[in-house]
Amino acid sequence: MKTPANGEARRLIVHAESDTILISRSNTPALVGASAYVGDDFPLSFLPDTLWLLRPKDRDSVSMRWLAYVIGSDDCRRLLQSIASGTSQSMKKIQKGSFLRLVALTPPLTEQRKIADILSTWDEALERLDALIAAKDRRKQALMQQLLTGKKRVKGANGKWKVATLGDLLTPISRTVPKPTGSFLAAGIRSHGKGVFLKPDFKPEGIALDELFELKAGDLVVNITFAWEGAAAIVPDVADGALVSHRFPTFLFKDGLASRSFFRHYIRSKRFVFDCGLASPGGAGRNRVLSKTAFLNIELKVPSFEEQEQIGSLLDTADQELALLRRQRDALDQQKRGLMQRLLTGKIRVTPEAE
Amino acid sequence: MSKINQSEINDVAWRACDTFRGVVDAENYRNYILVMLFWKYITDVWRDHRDAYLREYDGDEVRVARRMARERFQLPDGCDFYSIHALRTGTDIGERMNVALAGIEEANKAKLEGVFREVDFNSESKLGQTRDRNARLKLLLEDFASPKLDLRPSIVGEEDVIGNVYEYLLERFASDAGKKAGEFYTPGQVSKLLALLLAPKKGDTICDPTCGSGSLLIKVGRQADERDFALYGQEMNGTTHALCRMNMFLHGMDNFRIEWGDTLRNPRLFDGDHQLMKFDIVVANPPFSLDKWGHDEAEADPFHRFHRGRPPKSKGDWAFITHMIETAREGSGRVGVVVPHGVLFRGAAEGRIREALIKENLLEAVIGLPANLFFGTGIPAAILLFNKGKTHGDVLFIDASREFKDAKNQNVLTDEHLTKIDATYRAFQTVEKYAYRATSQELADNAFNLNIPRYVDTFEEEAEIDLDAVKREITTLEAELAEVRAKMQGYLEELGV
Repeated sequence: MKTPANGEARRLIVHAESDTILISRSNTPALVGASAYVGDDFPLSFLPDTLWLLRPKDRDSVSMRWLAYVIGSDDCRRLLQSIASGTSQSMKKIQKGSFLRLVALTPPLTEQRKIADILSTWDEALERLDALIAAKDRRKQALMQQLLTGKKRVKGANGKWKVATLGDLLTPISRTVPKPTGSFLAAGIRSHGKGVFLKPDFKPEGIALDELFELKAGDLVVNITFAWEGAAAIVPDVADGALVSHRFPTFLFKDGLASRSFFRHYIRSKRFVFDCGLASPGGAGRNRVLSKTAFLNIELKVPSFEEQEQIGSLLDTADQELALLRRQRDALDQQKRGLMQRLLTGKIRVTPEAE
Repeated sequence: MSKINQSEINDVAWRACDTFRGVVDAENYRNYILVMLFWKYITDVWRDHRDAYLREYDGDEVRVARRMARERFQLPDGCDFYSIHALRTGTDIGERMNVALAGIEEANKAKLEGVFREVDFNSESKLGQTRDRNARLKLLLEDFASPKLDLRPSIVGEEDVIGNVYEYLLERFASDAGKKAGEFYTPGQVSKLLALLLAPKKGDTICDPTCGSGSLLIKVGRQADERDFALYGQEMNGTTHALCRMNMFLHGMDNFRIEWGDTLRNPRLFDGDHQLMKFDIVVANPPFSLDKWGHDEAEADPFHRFHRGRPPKSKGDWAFITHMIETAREGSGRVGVVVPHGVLFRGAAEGRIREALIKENLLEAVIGLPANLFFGTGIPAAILLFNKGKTHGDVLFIDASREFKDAKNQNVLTDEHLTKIDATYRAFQTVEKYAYRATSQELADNAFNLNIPRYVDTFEEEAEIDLDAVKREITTLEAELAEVRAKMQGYLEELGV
């Protein structure tokens, strides 16, 4: 945080009063022209000179809320990006003159206000939905904490959880294949339990190995150099047959002992990642390699296969719900954009409420 | 005269190195600089004492000379720094410097024999051709003649200031040249930790079989309450061996014996009967996982040190540890050694030696240190403490790896960290997420694997999320969302879309 010299502070204060608009006049090509409506009063704000504060000339002819939607609309953003000048690829600037020369289709004030009312209802819905997604995500984390450790049991479950090693539950399997001569489908694993990613059309020239290993859908696959950071995943159907190097050992879940859907969640737990870290000696910065022996010796407490399945499917359901909510959010956002395109251009007119 | 400032002296000494930088390797000029510093120091001490006696005896040269003959060391006429400094523009200055240093060695045979062996001020291969060399030596003599480098005890005060400059330079060279010049150097705080943990008593004999420049020995010696202890060391590298002796001298450690040679192949510290000497404290930071340490010779070791097993050819860690244990006094001797983590869990021969030592109940504590403490390597190290006078069967594990201060290139242990480790060791009790007192049975259950996480569980549970609160939040949000949706529906109908 910068502390301005005495006396200078007064000069830097800009009263960002409510019902104004902030706009980024100087920024990266992607962000230049981004704007925000100021709803509350900020009497002591310090604005960097890369931002403009827009105040209305005449509050009786323009609704700032409406104008904020106009300036923030996809069309206007594109326009602002195109008038931003500057030779630097990382910094573009909008000239004051060219900004003030922009033209907006302007309905009467009452209609402006009605349009703003409608669109802000969608914003409100999006805001609530975001909060809901965050809360449901937290609930899922809480469920993981409790269900994966046995602190909370699924309905009807009462069998004792037993200590097992990963070696008791998994069978190492390696499906060696000679390095293909042409392009092939390669796979990698994201850290922090974020799953498998694919590299289609991978050129064999890029790797010095003679043999590779094949993934099968449903395998547990681990990246030994980033296991300490949670690089483990269950191979999804789309990655079936993809090839990996010897740094990605694969394991089968033992029938009736280890449930895939339970482990889909278990491998994202803090405990599992911590244990992988312990099984990865080294420790010069990020340079740590998982010992396969130590990995199979990792101990965990697991319930019966049936209970594992129940826990897995409960957590899967929580994930599905989150995915649905995220899609709903995207749909709502699309709907808002669609309304903006029509309402801000006059394609659909609204009838202002009687004053 | 203003009180001399440690960092100021350090700076002057470090800047004197500029004369060599870019021309001579750090490894080489290090010795020149350190020898110059040593030379300047003994000259200043000599001069200081002489001036004091001159005042005391009103300029009676005969009486002064008689007193000076009883000094800690002798500085023959013409061998002092200033006599040579006066000749600095001469064309044979390198040769004259060599002669002066040889004179000093000759006059102090017992303590200083061979310490200047490795430095040749007249060396064309190291210091360049005559003209360049002379110019360089002239600069060097002038740098050290700087009034800021006045090292007279009456100015500098306590003797440690000069020892500290020496340590400072050693440390700077170590970090400056990375692994190459630093492979011998133990970071100050690690030495200090070992000194704290081993806490020497009055009259103890202390030995470092891989003593390097001696900083670890000095730190442990200083930890002794009174100056009643004896330091022993052995160092394989001739240059470092010489540095070590100068270092001892500069730190005012008079009771020392530092041998030159390879501790594993050729141990040199014997008692009267040509038996290995036994010490009260054996401390070391041996080279990590030394390759070619002498595996073949170990089979027929005349001192039978490797009776618990012969360490693998390419990793000498357990060879050094074994040597240390064999040279610790029976029934009471203690050993503190810095090791790489592999020592704790590697199998095969190393596993067998480890098991034997644990079964003999010699191991007392295992302390995991943070990564990145050492010059030139980022790997985390551990300290093993052995005790031949153990009265119980337990082993204390301390996981100190997570507490350190971030410094520029290195992690650093502060005094608070050291105190905590030491206090935990003294208490010898389990401390949640930090230390664990394991029984011999537990060690056996773990197949004598000493990997610290097996004993000290440092897993931090995440804060428990309040399910009820989340549930209430979701209910509220869903109700609000339903309300907004109804409003949206109204608008959509109104707009006819």
